[in-house]
Amino acid sequence: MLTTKITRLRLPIILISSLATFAALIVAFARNDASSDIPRDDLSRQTISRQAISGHPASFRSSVSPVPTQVIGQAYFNLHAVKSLANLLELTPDVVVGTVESAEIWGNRDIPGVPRPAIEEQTPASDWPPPGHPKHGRQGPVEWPDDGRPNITVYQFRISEVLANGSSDRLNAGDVIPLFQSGGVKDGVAYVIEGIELLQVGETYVLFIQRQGTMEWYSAAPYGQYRLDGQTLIGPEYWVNAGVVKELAGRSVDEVRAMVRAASAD
Amino acid sequence: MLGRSTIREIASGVIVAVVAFIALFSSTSPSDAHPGHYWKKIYPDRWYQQVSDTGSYASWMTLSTHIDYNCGPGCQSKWQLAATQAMNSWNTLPTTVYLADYGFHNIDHDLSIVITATGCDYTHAGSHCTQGAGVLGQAYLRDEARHECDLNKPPSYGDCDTLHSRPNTWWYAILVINDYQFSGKYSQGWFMQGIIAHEIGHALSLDHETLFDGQCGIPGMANPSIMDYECLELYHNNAPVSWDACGINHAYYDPNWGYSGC
Repeated sequence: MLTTKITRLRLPIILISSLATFAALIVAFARNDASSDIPRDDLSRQTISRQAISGHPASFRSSVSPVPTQVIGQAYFNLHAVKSLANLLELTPDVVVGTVESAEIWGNRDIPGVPRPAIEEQTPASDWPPPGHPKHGRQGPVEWPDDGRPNITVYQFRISEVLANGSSDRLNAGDVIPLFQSGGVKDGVAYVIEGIELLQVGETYVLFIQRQGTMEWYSAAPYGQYRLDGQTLIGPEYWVNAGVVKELAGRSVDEVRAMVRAASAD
Repeated sequence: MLGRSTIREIASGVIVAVVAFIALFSSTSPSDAHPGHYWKKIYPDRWYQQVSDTGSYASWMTLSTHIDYNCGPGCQSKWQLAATQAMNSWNTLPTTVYLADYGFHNIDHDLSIVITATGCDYTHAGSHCTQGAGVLGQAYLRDEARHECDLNKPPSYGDCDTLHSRPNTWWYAILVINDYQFSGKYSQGWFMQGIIAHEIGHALSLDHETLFDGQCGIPGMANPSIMDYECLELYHNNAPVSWDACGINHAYYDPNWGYSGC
């Protein structure tokens, strides 16, 4: 009698209320995730996506599939210099317009202007790793595996105009200077540091550059490299919200020339 | 109106559903988000101490560490305090990791903090330069063959150490600090310490928290973290905090600690 009653009346009510509650909990759980995880993950994915397209800036507009991208490093950037053109010029007082003529993966060669320590200085005698440690007897190669990824790419950059030359280096139109970036493109894969867009051979840029210490090579600030689309500056996607990129992106070379000269004169 | 018995039946159903829900979702894998808070942002790859073939070696979250002061005369006196304080800030944060400072250079140490004059480093097998202008520090993670690992791909991507016995496994971390970039506000000791502590965070599997979006410290958006640019830039948070411990405990789950810091 009792069993029949439960079966006929109560069990369906319990079942329906169970299912409804369970569904409500699932929805609430999913919404909680959506309100927290997804925007954060999307932000990360956007970043990676931007890096992927940065290998081919032109393809960003033509929707050509991006090259595969691997993020080989993370950086902490000078976020003071990113705030405004004036701040950027404090960091990189040389500003040039020109074209990337070539790109060369540097591999394991010596870096001009940077002395290489002797091999014995790299591996002093020590008791590390000790017996029993997972690394014991399995130490890695002392020399860089030069079959690997492009850790440095050196570009030859032909200057067509010097917008500012605030450093002690004398830069002139017609000069070809070496520029380098971490990472590079090899076998169709772009190896990048997150936040640093790879330069493209054949493209023309306005670059805010600096030479590092004793090095012969120059480098551009990640937020100080602007590809030219005709006469218009295209800012690096990763830094689209940065103050200096907001100031410069979308402007013409003529406008930027005047802005740089005014800021340099201050 | 519903009768008492019907209300009891509905209540029974709700209880059954809640119990079933808890049973289904309370067990989470170490690297997954779990109910109650969102996911601390971490990389997918892990240190070799987490891989099963490393035997019974103890202290799985101890990383052998050394600091190379390669930025010329006065380099060590300029950087030593900031570097050691950065390491200590991690060592004194409960339930995370211990960075054992061996005090001498060896390229087989787990973690190398290299203070450079040019941004370039030869001392870890190969020519290596961080991009100069505007980059204060950079973190690289490498596999057993010293190949750089892809930080952001899921483990199934198989980028890291697929040629060896430990897929998706880190054997070395190199943190390059560009001494010549530390001028102006970045020449202050607390900032130098903070940036080294931030790079160490990368070496411990932590990703950036936010990207310049004004969210540092906003509950539910971005908890204070050494991995958040704005927390360091605006609020001078130059040491890891509990939310960073949470990330470590997600990445390297220890049942003794659980999700401590979360």
